[in-house]
Amino acid sequence: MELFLDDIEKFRDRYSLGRDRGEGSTNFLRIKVLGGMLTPDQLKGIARLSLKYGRGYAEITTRQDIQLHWIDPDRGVEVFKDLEELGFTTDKCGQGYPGTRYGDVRNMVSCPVAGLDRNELIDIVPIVKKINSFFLGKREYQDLPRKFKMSISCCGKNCVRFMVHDLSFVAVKSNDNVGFAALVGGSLGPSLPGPALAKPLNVFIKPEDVLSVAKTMVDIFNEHGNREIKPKARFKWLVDNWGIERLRGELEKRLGYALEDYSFDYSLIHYGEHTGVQKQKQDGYYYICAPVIAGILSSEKMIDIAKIAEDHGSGKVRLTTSQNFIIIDVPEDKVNVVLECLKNIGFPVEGSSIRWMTVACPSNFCGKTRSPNPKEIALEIVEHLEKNMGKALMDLNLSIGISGCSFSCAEFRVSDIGLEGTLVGNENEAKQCYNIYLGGSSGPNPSLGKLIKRNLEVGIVKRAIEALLLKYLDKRKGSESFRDFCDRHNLEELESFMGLSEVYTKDVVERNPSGTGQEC
Amino acid sequence: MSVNIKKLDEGHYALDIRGFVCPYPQVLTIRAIEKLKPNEIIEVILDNPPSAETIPSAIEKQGYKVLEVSKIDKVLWKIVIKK
Repeated sequence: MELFLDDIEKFRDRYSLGRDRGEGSTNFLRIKVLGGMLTPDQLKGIARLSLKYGRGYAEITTRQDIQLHWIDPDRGVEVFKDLEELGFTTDKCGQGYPGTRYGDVRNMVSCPVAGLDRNELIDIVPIVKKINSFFLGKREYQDLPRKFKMSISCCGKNCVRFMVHDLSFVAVKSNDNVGFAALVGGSLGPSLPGPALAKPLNVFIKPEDVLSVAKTMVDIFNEHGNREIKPKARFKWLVDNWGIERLRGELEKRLGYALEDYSFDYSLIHYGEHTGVQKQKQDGYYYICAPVIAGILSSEKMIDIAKIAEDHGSGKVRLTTSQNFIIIDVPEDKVNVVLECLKNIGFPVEGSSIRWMTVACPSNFCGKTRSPNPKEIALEIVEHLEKNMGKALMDLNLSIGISGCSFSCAEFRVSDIGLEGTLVGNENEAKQCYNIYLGGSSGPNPSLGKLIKRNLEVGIVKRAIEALLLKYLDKRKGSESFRDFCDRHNLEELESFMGLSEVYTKDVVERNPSGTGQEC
Repeated sequence: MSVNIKKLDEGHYALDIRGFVCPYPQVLTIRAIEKLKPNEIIEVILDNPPSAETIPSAIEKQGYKVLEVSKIDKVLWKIVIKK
């Protein structure tokens, strides 16, 4: 007997469902959104998918994707047909392989205002499209030792957190020529050799060579990445073992030419993202970035957003790595109308920077946390700080990353304030708590956050953060950044600022260290 | 393209769907069972961890009987099902 696979075969290298273990969901659908760019029909289409298959719920992820949950695997092929009609594919996250197999190239994150930003050195959209198109559906790139993550930026801001990817391209100038610096080996999870920030490869890459460099680097990973055990299988292990010189040598050997030397200057990168209302490089047009705390959307909201974009802009919407959305191409005389519309549907474009820059992972779905999970406390913390600090909060420009576990899917290790979920107590009565990290940054002065205190309940966390921020506002030197302020003080001082010197922490529950990270 | 449902014995078949990721193992398993006669048995071999977890309960929801779920290698499972 034969099982004919025609309908499955055309999908199997481009579509899959990931495994969920929480909230009553068994499977999630991660919709790869190229460059975070959506047409209004696509956004409305995703809204319909969410309602039809996923209880009307959706999340913007840190890789500019949209994730749906509660997907019935029996309807998988039907879901993929609908997704194909919208022009999307998925990645292969969430298969949970215990070994060093079936890694794939994930959605390349890129500046969410590429092609629009007044300060961009080059429009990277064509490059993102080329790279995505090259790797799409190719089976030879779906059995890597582990996943491979790339980013590309062009605007001089840190909007893609280029320090946390396996391979990042950052637009720079060399002798008046625009091209890219490359950085390698970033990854914040616990895989060996531990959380790592990407290192410069010390080369200058011409725009037309970005694809061949990306492809060659993935080939190197595929052939030389560690396949002994999963903890050693991320690209950062190879980068750490080989060193930059050897990696560069291998890259150039395979390319067949030497790359121009280039010394990456971190001071070229400015802290911050594309928030609020900003002028586009197209005269008379603006983009408007609305904050979405924890990136949670509903099917109704997505329809509303698409309608606002269509009625008052070009209809196009972009997604950011901080889980927000941007309505683009808004004529100057429509800006206030869009702001009013967004406010009416629950997305006021106002408030402190933490509204835009608080990121939280969906660990409630991967089953790694109990309530309060990161997405719940993201809103709780923002509201607490806004209520208690009022206008003082408006003076701050900082990021908060909240992850349910050490996999750092919400990049807590490179956030100004990072929270890492832990379960405290015995297995049956474990309480959800969080470790606090301070002073992380993915540029311009990259650093991993310092662990200040472990196993704190959310109530204590909120008050501790508030106390710290008030102390920072009181004690900072001139325009000293929060990160520099944290750097200037030792652990005991920071603990004291947060009122935690007398707080004693409890034992954690032993948890299974295996499993996969997720986007959030 | 097709996958062979191999006959092991009278009323006893095998389906090897190694290499397929979620949700295809579940979809293929159900399609294979639909080709069987009542009381016939099929052994499904797969290497996708989430499918190994979800297929047994999905099969039973459809009214079929799971006779065995065993891990036969580091990343390899056998699920034996009776229609």
